[in-house]
Amino acid sequence: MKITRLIARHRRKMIATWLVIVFALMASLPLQSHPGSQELYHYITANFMEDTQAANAVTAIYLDYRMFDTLFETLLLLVSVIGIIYFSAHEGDS
Amino acid sequence: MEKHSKLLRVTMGAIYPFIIIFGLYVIFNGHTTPGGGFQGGAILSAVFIVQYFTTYQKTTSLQLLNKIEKILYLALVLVAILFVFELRGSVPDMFKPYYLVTMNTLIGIKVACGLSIIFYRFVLFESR
Amino acid sequence: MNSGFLDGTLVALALFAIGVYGLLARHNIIKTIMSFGIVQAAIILFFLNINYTLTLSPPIGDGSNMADPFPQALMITAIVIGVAVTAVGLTMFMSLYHHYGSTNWVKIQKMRKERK
Repeated sequence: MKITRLIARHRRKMIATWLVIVFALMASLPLQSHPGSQELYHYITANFMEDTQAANAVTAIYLDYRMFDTLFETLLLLVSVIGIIYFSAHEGDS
Repeated sequence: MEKHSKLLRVTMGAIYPFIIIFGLYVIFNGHTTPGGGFQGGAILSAVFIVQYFTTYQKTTSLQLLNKIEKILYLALVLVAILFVFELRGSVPDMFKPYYLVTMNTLIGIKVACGLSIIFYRFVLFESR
Repeated sequence: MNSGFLDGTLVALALFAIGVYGLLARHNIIKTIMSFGIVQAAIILFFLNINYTLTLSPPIGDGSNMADPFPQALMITAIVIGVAVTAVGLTMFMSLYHHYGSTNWVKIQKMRKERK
């Protein structure tokens, strides 16, 4: 009983302390890139001009190498627009 | 609905064409310079915000915008399937920039329609 | 990574912790949606800092010393998805507010249990 009241009173402080500990743990981890990403980087920067004829490498990736990414992302925008229209449609009726 | 101030209306009316030109520039040069379909579409959707500020009456139909968006998504999927998945490796280099400009234009107009629908929905229907 | 005076990765991790604190500790729905935005900004900053040093040039043209274009292409979609998620969340919140008249998660949960 006492412990639950103590937790309820200091909930925000405990969450904040826990997140500071999590941040310290994450920041102390040694971060290094995966070696496969270097391979991908060298392949893309060497070949994107010949493959897609685009001078902008970002456009070359999102319109050619990763076409599914763009397609489903635009589908998500369309679905969210339809969702916005129909979430607020019933308010006008009531 | 109250009138917007004259200062805002006149300056926004003067800025209006430049926003359209800048958005189209960002979309059409997306494959050679920084920019692309998403960024240009976000700029183009500012046109509808300016139109709301200058005329303050509802002249655009949301159903029409939504229909345009659906048709553009269908065209997007068709062009992408045709060029990227069907004709993989057999497209001559001459036609590839045309493909990029077509896709960027479709994505840009689609994103502009979607963001302006979101804006109009919040302004006209959710602000009661 | 590890370039200049502020490390982008550390700032991203700190923003992520702040956003998760907002998600866990606050009971306001608007603040929850704002925390979603903060977490999204943290993730975008973290991805843009992958393989980045201050001497790299933008990924345009066939320069040899080019920044990695891959995280940038992923994040251009993540930004649009973030806009969509925020808009849908705000619409759902407005519908909820018209029904229950409160912005507190706990109160709305109580009201829903009572109405059942």
